[in-house]
Amino acid sequence: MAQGDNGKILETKKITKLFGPVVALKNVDFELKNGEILGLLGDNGAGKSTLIKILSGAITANSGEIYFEGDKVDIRQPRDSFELGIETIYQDLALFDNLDFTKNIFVGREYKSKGPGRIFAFADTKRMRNEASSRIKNISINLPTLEQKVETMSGGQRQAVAITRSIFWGKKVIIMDEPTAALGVQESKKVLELIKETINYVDGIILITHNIEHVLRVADRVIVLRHGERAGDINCADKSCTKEELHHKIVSMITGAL
Amino acid sequence: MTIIFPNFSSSNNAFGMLYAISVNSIIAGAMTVLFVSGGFDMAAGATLGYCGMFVGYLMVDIGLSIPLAILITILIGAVIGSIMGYIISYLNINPFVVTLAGWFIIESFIYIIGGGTNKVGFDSSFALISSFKILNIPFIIIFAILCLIIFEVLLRKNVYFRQNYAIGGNEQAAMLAGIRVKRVKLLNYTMVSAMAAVAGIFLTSRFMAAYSSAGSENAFQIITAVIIGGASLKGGRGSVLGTFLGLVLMALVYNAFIFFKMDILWNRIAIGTILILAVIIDVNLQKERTVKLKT
Repeated sequence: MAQGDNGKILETKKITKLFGPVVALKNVDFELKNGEILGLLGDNGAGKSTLIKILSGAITANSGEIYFEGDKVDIRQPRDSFELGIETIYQDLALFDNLDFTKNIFVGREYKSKGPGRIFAFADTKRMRNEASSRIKNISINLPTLEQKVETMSGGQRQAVAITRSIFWGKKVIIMDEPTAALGVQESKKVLELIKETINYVDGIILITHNIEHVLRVADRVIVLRHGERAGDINCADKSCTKEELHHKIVSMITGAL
Repeated sequence: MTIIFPNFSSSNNAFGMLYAISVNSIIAGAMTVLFVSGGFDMAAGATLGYCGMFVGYLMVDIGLSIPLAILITILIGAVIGSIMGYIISYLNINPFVVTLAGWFIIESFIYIIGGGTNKVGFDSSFALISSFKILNIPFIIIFAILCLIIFEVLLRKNVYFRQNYAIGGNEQAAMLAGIRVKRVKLLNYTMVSAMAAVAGIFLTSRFMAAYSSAGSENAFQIITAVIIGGASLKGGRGSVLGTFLGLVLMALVYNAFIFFKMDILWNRIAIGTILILAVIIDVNLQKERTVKLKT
């Protein structure tokens, strides 16, 4: 487990992002505490996806700072984010339909052969396949065959591939953008259980979702964004509130009634 | 028997067929890699023709030695490819437009340096480049086979070449996965043009003359072979082996025309028809795949 500044593994200060004249994020302070599952909520256009894309290196902010484990860091491209141990599952999953499960896991990070193929930078397909297939056994959503290309998989299976990929590489932080959006009740339940289990292996999980029910089931805390600004945060473990009250509080913060 | 196109030998036997496809085979591997990444280069034939003329120009008009002329020509080929690759990859211009325009421009340069005539008068040792025999097989054929094998192995096994499948499959996701998409795409175009330059040099060596018309058919032939061989226009699929089989198929069709004494002009119609059929099959396969996604 890592020591952050005041127990914060990931933090942003005054992040601002503009898309032309549109202010997507304005002076957003954000923190992910060590060991927590954090829900990131907000209405459409609130800036949730923009914020996590900045953390994942897909885009860069116009101003503001990012801190990881207490140190100021520069995340300019996805690789920088990977190197810190941050893995992100995007809303569209960013999977490769023409590739199979193993290749999807290892895209861009294939193991190089240690044998004679080493000088030609050959891929170590055997080792990758072994590690991928052993991971599959830990995930309850099953795949009939490893050779199957992702394009023939169901929504739940595709989600499982994306989650497996992030868990495989994510040593510190995993960010999930709407992981249950396209899933049915049963599959959503499995994914949420998976999230609750995964926090034991990583230092923090950020969960973006519209489904407040799901958030209340797994999150320790919730940060709400509204029109690109931080509207507030809510402690889900707050014993003084009932579930309904928490739900109501969150909705009010999202819509701005609070 | 006249040589109808500088690219095809007029003999019927297997050897002749190998000769015929050897020039295209030199480029085919790199072109397959480019297709897998989702790109294509229609100017490859023009680059072939231009570099074939350019190496002649360097030797005859400038008086450079053979090795130096070859080296500079290959470099020029690479530069041509990297210019197109830069415009396509970094400036985000459609490869169709860029390589089509490239074809037009580069082909014009053939006439500028060649003066519209075929260039002859090379040092006789230049013929050795293509005809030098190892185990009684002309070097050009050996080199072509080597190119095919090397590109096939690289595309299948090399960590960096394999990234092309990801780029062709979902370019945005490839970027998010940390792959240097722009750089890889630029390199692909550079490789194709460099190999086209090499092929042009071999061609000029084989005929000991640089034809103004050289290369005019090659882009079409190679691209057709790549698509017949299983590469999708969308990218993300394909193999060098498939492309090679595509070349063989086209050579067989050509030989069939000769064997059955049919008018050889219809060969081009046949090849064009095969290309359309291959593309129709490719598009339908694409549709099938997306349908499965929705269920």
